[in-house]
Amino acid sequence: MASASTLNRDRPVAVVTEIERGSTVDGPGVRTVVFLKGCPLRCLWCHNPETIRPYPQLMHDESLCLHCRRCAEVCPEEEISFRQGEFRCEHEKCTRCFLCVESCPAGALTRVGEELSVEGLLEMVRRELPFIKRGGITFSGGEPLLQPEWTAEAARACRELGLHTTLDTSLYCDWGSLDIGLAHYSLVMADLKHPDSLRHQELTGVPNELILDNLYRLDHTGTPIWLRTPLIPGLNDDPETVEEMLGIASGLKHLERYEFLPYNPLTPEKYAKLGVDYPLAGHAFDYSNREELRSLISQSDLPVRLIR
Amino acid sequence: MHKERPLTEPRMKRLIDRRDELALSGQRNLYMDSVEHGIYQWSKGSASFAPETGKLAAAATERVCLGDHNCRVGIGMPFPYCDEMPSVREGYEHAPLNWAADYAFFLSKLEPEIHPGERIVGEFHWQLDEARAQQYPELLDEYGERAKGLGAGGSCQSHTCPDLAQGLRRGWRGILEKVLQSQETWSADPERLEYLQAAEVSCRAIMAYIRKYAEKARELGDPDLAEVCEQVATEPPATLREALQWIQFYQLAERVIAHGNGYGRLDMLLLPYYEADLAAGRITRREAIELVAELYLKYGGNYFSLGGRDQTGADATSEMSWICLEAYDLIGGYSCLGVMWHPDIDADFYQYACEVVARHKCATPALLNYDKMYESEVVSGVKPEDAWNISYSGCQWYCVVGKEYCDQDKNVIVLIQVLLRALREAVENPPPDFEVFYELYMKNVEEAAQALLELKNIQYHHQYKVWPEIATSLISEQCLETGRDITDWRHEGAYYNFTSVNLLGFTNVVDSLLAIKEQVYGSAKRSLAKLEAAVRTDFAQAEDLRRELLAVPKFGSDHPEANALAKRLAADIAHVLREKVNCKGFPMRPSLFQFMGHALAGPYLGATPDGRHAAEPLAQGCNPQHGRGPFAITEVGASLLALDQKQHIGAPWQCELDDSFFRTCDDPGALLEALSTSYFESGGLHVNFNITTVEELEDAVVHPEKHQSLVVKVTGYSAHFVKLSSHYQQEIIRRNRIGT
Ligand code: SF4
Ligand code: SF4
Repeated sequence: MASASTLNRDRPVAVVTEIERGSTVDGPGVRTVVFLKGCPLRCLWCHNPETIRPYPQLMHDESLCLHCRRCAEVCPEEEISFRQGEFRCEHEKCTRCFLCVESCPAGALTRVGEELSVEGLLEMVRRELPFIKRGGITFSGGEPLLQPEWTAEAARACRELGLHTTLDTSLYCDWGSLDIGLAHYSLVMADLKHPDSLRHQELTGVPNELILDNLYRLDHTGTPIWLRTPLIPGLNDDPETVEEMLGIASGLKHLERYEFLPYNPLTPEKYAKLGVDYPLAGHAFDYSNREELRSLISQSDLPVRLIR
Repeated sequence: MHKERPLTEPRMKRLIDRRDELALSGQRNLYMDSVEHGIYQWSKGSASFAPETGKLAAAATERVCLGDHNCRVGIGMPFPYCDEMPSVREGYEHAPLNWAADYAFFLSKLEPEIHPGERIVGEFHWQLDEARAQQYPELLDEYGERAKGLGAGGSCQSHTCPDLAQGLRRGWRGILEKVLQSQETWSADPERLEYLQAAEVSCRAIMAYIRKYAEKARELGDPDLAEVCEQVATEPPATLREALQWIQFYQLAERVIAHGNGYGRLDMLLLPYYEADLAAGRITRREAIELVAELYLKYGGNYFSLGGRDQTGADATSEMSWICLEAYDLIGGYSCLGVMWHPDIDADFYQYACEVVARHKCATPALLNYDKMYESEVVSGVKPEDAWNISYSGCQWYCVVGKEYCDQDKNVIVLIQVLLRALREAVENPPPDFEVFYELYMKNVEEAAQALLELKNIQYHHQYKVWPEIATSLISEQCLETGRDITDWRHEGAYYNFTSVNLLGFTNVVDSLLAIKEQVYGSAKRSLAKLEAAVRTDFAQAEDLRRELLAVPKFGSDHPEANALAKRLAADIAHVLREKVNCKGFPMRPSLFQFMGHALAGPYLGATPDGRHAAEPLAQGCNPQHGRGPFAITEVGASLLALDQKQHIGAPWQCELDDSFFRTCDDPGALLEALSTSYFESGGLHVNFNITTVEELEDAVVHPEKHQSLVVKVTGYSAHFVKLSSHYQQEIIRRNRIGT
């Protein structure tokens, strides 16, 4: 699998969407979460479309925009225009010089995606250490294993500081990408999105054989595993599908926890900021089987959690 | 470990229900005179909170409800004997004996009240300020108005801690004997003698008041209760029940004069009685829990603390700490307990404290860092040999038990008003750079502080005659020996007499100064005059400017520049205040908090250069401004840690957590424990965790009947949300919630 990492032997850097501080929902305790940019999957429900592309991108927030047009003045490509007073940018032609971001007085334009070295990460982590030494750090994405060397090296360095490290991965990667960092991950969190490979491909753009192979192989190594399934109405939340996923989970020896996560439709703004469309716009979200699912899931012998 | 929540038996259940009824019917409500009083903590003619009835009561349309934060149980009618008060019949004087005659008469007219099933008794329906004017001579108004004009104000009230250990040890007879002895010592000094006579009158009145409860209990056929009351009316308590009853009567005797204090370190106070009862086979653990719970139920929101260190520096946590906390866990709801963490605290106990916070969701107990409190007292000038006995004493305050009269609670510098003044001056005479502007601001702070000092000094010269705190003085160090009230400006009563000053709008000023630095003195080069005009007109024609002001980094985001400015400003204000020494010989000292004005001052004082509209509340203390962010919990925590917290007497982190913060978490208590421990280890002083959701709060505004049991930490105190005035309800709803 091709790696989108801009890794360089002397000064390895990753492209990072965001570093979230103080998260309590990405592994045990209070954590710093590094969202690496770039993802091989295209889940229809993706909550973080800004993490899909492996390179820095321009985001525009209409609600903050003053329509002062300073951005249009500085854009060397003349890609920014205003139609009926609304900001428009031809994202396909944008060269990502980010001059417009600097010119924006209202914080309406932002660059999403920064290069980050391991040393740069450690600087932040050291400052945050008092708060996360009882929790830890989570490498998430996107897909952190698209930048496997960086992630492995960052995890190793964080472990050296005494931190608990969690890798949050789709497991859609070659085994080697996972294996090179395995000694440095205290916990691996992986998603089960659909048990059926064809359906998986329809929903996420990729089949699931590789994912499941990696999951079982990971389990063999003895690494503690948390599974997560976002329950998307009408796509993977019928009782049969959920039961099949529970079946897969029950085959794991080192499963510590299996979280079923709720899914709420996104407002169009999040996609609009990037100038792309939300694939589930217009999808009928029917939550009527939630009680049934609750009883089904709670009957399981596995360490399941149905998150509200 | 005592993890499970004990079941509530019917007797306790009835007592809990009654507590809730009193709160929800409004009988525990506390009011202040006016919005203005909430901001300046002073208003013409008002020396305290609003008397609820009587000649000095504020109009119902003016007064602002602070929620069920009162010990008084209102019954909807004024004190029936106002016209028979000695000061009415024989003449009113600003003099201790004149005051004590009223106090004694007032207590004599309070009927004992015992409710079915109670084992700890005592409540009252009026405060002395409803029958006797708590008013300073008019000449003070001039000083008050002057201070207000400069952005400061204050009235004398203290969240101090009388030394209950001393009272419990002596009993009322012992206290009286001490008063009489001291009268002999000072027989040649008329002024001290008069004070000690006032003390004697007060002491005897309290004893008579307690005896009435003994008689009433006998009438009602409760010989056990009668015996307890009889005993504590004169003798030192011998059992846990007697000790608790002693404390309750003492609190009433004190609270009836119209304001609340902290009452010290409850676990340390009660431990000997519990141990003696256990050794004698007189009590079970469960009975002890229920008795302590009854004390909480009777008073409302007592400020007691648990944990901390003892005199040797060792962990003071004991079996009694557990019992006191389990007692709260049993009854839940409205309370103002504090647990004082330190690195050597019994880890199981602290874990339990955090579980209790997570379970009851209303920042009870408040979590405090004992070592930081200690350090901050030493910074103020308290001797280390005294400082060990500090106790959380209300809101953000703490003090040395029995030795400190710190005039805490109600003094303020309204920092945003000072800023707006500086801004107007700057328009007249534009400073060339930010540093000069900053100096101009600090000059205005200094003027406000000076005006406050002058107001305080003149108040101090009258306070001990206008409204002596005799009940407090009876069991505080030195007062009886010297024949001086604890409030006396000659400071022979308390060892330490600081003037503690709330800073209102701290975060708004940090954010505003940074906005001015960037927008006026940075590359944008905006004119000060335009900025001032925009602020003055509430950004009516300047929404674009407001957005740009909002885009400047804000305190709470852990932005290095905002942090550095906050740290500098806090240190500079602390320096200004500490240079100002009151007439008692003690410096003023700052507190990064003000418990009522932030919800009121916005519309009153107008918009600010941080982009805040006039109608929006101010930030609460040193917490981020409402509606900024969203900030991560560690960003806010790290921002507050940028301040040198020991320089302040109180700097609470009011941490509002949305339920969703815990959505994937199996053990919310453990998460709070990890967070607060991290915060304390890094220098944090105090954290209150409220756990709510906006939906719940908003629904409670519309359908109060559905949210009767919703209790929140308002600022420094807890109350039923549905009993708060809409100012406070809206302010709480708008707070930055973490986890949404
Ligand atoms: S510079 Fe910023 S505020 Fe001005 S039009 Fe462009 S995006 Fe909007
Ligand atoms: S990033 Fe550069 S090319 Fe792209 S829109 Fe902004 S100014 Fe134009």
